[in-house]
Amino acid sequence: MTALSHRPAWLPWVSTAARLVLAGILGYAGAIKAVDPQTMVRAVQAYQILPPAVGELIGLVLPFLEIGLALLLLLGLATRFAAAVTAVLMLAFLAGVASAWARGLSIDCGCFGGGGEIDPEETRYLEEILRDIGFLALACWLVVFPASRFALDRHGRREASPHLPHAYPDGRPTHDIGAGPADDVEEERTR
Amino acid sequence: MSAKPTRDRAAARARAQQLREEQAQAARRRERWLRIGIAVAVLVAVVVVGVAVNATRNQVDTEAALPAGVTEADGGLPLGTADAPVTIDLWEDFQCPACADFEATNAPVLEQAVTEGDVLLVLHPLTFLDENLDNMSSLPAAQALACTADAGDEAALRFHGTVFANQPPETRGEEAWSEDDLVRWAEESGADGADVRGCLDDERFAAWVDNVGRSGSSAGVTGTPALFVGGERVPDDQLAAMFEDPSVLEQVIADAATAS
Repeated sequence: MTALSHRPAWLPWVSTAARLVLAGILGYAGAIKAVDPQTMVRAVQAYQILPPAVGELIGLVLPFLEIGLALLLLLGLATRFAAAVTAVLMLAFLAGVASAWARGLSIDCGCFGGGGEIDPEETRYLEEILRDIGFLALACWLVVFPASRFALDRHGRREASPHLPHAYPDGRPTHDIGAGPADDVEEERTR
Repeated sequence: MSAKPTRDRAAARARAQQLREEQAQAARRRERWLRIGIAVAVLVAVVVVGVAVNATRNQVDTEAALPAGVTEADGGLPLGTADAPVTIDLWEDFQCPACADFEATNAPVLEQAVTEGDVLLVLHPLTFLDENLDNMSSLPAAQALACTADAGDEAALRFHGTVFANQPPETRGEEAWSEDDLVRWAEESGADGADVRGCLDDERFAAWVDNVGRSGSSAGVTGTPALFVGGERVPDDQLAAMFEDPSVLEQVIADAATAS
């Protein structure tokens, strides 16, 4: 990730947008499920993939995992890590919905609350899969381009590359004495 | 000055530069792992606190008032003689169309088996369709069932059948029945209308119904109807056959009676 200087300036803004959108989706989905754990447990068990006890555990834990990931993405803390976990989660959701569809179950994915068995005419597997693919794409974008504005992560701030010894990629003035890396640069200049 | 010292100085500068870069790289690596560590700690903290809060919030209400015959806070409503050879646990939502279909075929079999003392029928009324259908009909019906049980097993059994027989087509956002309907059906089943109305207005058995809903998840009930004969879940294919033909349930009951 040293080639930051070659990237267009709007890239971090796109990543900021991706972070906030994904945080909003995960936060909303997590919160709506967290307040009604019974429904969530039933929704997980309706997939009939895992033993009921494991389904219960997942039903209790998953909403808060989503809320935690939303928090990390909102703050921009360990963005690449949070995005990678989110991507894995989305892959698991996709596999679950696809498997329910393939096995001819009639369930609601329970992605945003609800869930459980529904009328066969009411299943919306394709829509749910396309939606999850969209979320997966956002997460993958962030895995590839985690650097973003308004984030706790300071991607590239210390990446004073050999070609640009006197400037920081984020455009901070080099005479900012007091910050650690600035001293290095100062030293370099006075020598 | 010869060129040599300059070259040495240049080499020294390059070495120093390289060292600084290595140090900076190590610092970046440390910082990255620190950030991931903090992130993992945040995730774990949110999950642990959240699950703990939900665990205290969602415990079975042991103070719940229990309908006649129910001994455990989240136990189903038992109808029939306790020493019947076969126990059938039936999980239904009063608004569930499949349950109404099941009842249309099998209610006579069940009622006869209960009346003759062959089966102890344990009803576990669920209310999840209130959320799915965006109304509030399953909960009052489940409570009314509990209220009616005060008037005896027979009244509760009849009331149970009457609600399913009068189930309207599912309409999202619309109530399936009114309180007046429930009171009238309870009266027709042999319960005292004023008692049942008072019981509904007090929400006397709301906490119990809530407890039953919770126990559904532990029992692995994800859809209704769900049928357990002698504690064993009736498999989906057999359940599907029961919708078509009452003799399937008759046979299951007979087999269970012989086995016990």
